[in-house]
Amino acid sequence: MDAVEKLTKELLVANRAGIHLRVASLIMQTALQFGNDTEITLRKGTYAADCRSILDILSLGASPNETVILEINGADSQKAMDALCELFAAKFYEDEICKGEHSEEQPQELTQELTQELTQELTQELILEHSESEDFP
Amino acid sequence: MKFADFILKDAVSAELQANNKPGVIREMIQALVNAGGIKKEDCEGIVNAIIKREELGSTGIGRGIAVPHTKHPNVEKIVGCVAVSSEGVDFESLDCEKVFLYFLLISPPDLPGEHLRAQEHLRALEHITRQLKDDTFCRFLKQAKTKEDILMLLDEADNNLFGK
Repeated sequence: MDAVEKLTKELLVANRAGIHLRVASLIMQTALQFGNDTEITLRKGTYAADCRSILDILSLGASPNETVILEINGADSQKAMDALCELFAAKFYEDEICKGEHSEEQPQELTQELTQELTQELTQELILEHSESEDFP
Repeated sequence: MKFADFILKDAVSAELQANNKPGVIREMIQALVNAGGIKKEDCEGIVNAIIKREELGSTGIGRGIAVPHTKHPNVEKIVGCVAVSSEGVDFESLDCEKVFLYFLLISPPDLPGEHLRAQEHLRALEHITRQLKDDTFCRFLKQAKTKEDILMLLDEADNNLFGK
């Protein structure tokens, strides 16, 4: 196992639409690839978002051309930092996959593929994540 | 941005009748039409656009919450509504749990040079999610029995009684 390491980096939200729901899903999906012993936090101003929580990420309200601070602390720090930096640098792949004016309307093939992967991979972890603290049935 | 800036009070519903995903979307859009938030002739197009968006990935984000949304050229300003389903509906949510709380948003499309307007959707999402992070707000909203209950909670949220 890698040594525990805390990493911090300032990242630009460079896509056209900011961190909207699909982008937040991608960030969460990426964060969930790493163990729970690796804390992954995005900060904007006084707000901090656990990157394993889509509610947290959306609540940052990060707009285009704003910067956010990515903080990662744990065994997989470097790998997680690399993966998330790549996602931000790629503008969440919107430029490549967005055909029309609407940032949420990507070509179906890629988005459906991502969505299926996301849903399958995240379901169990989401359930585990929320099972102890949520009031909803 | 606050709920009062984009939630149409007359379109708020404390008891959704629909028991499936398309039905929920259609019922909420119809509520917006009835409240004058969108034109009747745009109803079908907006319903279809939201369903199409859902096909790209569910906006059921877990914790019993969904934020179905779309952009539509005939909408000049972001408009939305809130609905509660006491029984919950399968919305193909990320956590595979039923959804009880719905915040539906319709935004104008992004236009060059109108960055502030384009960000209304983000601001609305930001406000909704900040409030929904508060377990008390979520619990009270889910327990709401009347439209007035919901409106009171939204008003209290706008006045910083919930959220972080």
